[in-house]
Amino acid sequence: MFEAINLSVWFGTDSDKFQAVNDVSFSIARGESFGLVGESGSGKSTILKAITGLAQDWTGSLNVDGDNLGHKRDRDFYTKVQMVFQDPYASLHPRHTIDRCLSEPLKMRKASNIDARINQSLRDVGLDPSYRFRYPHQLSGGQRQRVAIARALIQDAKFLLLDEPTSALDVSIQAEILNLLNDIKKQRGLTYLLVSHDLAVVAHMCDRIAIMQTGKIVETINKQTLQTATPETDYAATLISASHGFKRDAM
Amino acid sequence: MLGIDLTKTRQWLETDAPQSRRQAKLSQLYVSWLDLKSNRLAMIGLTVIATLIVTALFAPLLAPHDPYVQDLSNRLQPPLTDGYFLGSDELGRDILSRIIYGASTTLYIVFLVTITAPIIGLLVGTAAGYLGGWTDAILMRLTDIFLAFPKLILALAFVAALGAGIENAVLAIALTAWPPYARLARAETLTIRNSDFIAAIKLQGASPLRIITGHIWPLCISSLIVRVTLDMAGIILTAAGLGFLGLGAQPPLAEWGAMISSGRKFILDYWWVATMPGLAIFIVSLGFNLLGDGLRDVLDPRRQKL
Amino acid sequence: MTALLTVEDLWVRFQTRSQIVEAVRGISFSVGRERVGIVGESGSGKSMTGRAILGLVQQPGVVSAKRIDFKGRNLATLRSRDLRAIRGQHISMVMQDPKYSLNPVIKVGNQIAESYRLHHKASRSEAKIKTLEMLKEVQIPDPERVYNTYPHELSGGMGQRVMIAMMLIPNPEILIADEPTSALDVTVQKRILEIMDKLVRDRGMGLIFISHDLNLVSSFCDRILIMYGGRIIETCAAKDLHKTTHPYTRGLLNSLPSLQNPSARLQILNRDPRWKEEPSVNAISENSNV
Repeated sequence: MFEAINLSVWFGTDSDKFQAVNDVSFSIARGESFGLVGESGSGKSTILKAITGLAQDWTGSLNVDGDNLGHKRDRDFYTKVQMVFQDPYASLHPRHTIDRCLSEPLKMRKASNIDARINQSLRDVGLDPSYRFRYPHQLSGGQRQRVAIARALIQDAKFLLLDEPTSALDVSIQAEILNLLNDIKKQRGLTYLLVSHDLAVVAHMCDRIAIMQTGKIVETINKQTLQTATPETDYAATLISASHGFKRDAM
Repeated sequence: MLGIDLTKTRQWLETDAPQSRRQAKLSQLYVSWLDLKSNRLAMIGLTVIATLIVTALFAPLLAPHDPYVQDLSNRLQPPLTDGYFLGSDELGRDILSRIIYGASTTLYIVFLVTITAPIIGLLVGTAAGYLGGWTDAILMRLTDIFLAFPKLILALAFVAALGAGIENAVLAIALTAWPPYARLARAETLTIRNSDFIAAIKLQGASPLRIITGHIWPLCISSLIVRVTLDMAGIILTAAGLGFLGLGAQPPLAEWGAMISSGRKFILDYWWVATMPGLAIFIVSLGFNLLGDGLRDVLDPRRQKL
Repeated sequence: MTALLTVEDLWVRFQTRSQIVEAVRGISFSVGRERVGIVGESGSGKSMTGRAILGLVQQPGVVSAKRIDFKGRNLATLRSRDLRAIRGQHISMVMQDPKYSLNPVIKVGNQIAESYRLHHKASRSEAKIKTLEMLKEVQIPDPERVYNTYPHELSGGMGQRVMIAMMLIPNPEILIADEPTSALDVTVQKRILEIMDKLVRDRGMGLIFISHDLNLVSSFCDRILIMYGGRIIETCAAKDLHKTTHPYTRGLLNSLPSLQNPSARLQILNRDPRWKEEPSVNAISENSNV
């Protein structure tokens, strides 16, 4: 479904140039869940930006569903690839109702049967259609994130980019959203690229995981290796042990 | 019976779970209205403005005398003289009636400037802020050029070219008033542009036009509204200043600034001729300022919606 | 262990246009020379509790308590001037994001020195020496250089160390840490916690550690208070957390994805509305001198 070859992304020019992603290559099979884990500054979110066209300074090749991506994106692309953002408080327009949020993409595509599709879309993410005319500030964080997921799905995209989708949510809500994402993936046969700093979340959701550090992929592991064998690189081992919590005696 | 209807309507408006687009929009407006209502000073401002509008609309019904009829035997009568509640001016015209008719002139000026300056500013500012690059540079330099024009000099230029009159005065004011709105709109756009919700709609394939009109304008409009109400005082004073210089409303039109100007000569002995219109300007400007302050609090997006 | 701080029947209420919102509903607990963790989700009232102790709750919030006893003085009844003397010098607070807690236009070293001079009579040079010592204690490698930096020039971890330095330099008895590591990367988090651990132990301080992260709190603290809906719903020793029986705590623990115990589906927490009505658990430690 997706392949990145020798992808390098940078910001700024000349003396200000910052290399966010350095020669990264990986591929994702159709129906797979692939995770990108790393700390801040590792470049994981930048890769998403390059795929969606929000970052324009990159070299290498990006291929989605057989099509090579250029620096601009066309309408077609948005029916294949969609993204769920991290902050549910910032990813919905504060002055638009949920109805407007979900109907706008449909109207742009001149789709028919908009009412029914919106209601169904809300039900698909576990929201009662009575929420349709609320504003974002009348919804909780978890509900907003469900709307964000509904928005991503309403275009019938098959490849979803998930940028820390549960980092801003309470743990109990996170569980509901992660279960929802897994259910939807099974029902619709989607492919996920999940970016997160939380190793436990990524391990739960993904089949294969790439660990990034300062713009490079340090190691690619699969789910079993994470739980059983020891990882190959030191950095991966550090991340895994750090995610186990604080150990007083380890000082 | 009326009481029952009102309660049901209020419940409908106060709902936390609107069931239609109309209900959603109206309930938001209702909540904002309640917010504003709780601000005493803003309500005073609103009352002043409402009075202004009513006075302007019903001037012929409210004014005790014809504002243009002269009665030289009754010139310069002090206030509270029989029939001349606020006194009469140097041509025997009733000052109260002239102030009432002047309200429509003031409202006319205010209305014209309000529908032109902020709208031009919004268009220029959001386009510059969102599109960036050359568009931004050119539009901002254009803004700077207009910002550099002093209002009165421009008005003089217009008068020289087109003749004195109230429309030309308004045109001059509007042309020099839009740049600050453009700057404001541009600053807001630059902040909004990087939000996740803009990124999200871009990822739906929205064109820049749709993004600017549907997503950025709704967020800029509140600060523009606040700015306009706060600028209103300045606009009225500028129009009065132009009238004072004889560049705006021409005699015998009752315009508050022109009234002050003609009353200037008598200010020591017959203070009311200039002071009464001056008080009118003061009260209306204050009203706009109070309302503007109140609106700013209500429309501030950072305010918690409780 | 004698208690440094005893809070009894603390309430924090907010009056809105239509109703009264109760953020904290009558909680009681004590803190000695130990680490107490307050855990809860958003809206549980944990942050409000920390702020209420220090008198940092803004209008329209109102704090009331039977008593907030700190070394014999009732903070609930103190005048604001006296409360200011306690704030910083005896009870200090470290917050989540140093970007928002440090003054962006003043050099970091000067801010710390100012914090010192506020509570101790000292000259500028003495304060500077103390600041450099403090920066070394929080394991900042190049104290002289960092002294002269501005907050925006520091990374998250460095900024938080500076924050800790600033808050601990007056030598308070109690430190309230409100999500001090939530904005930090996991490896940086570990280092910051180690620093806090050492300082709190060496100085014999009491620590109130507020967080949403159950596992973190259970591994770092001695005692845990779990808050829900403004009340303390359970209290236990940290090492006993995993034996908890309360359905809410159990539910929270079970809904976490775990590296060691993977599951196909995460357990959902079913909120029982009765939890909001349960009386607050009294967490005043039996050993404390009341």
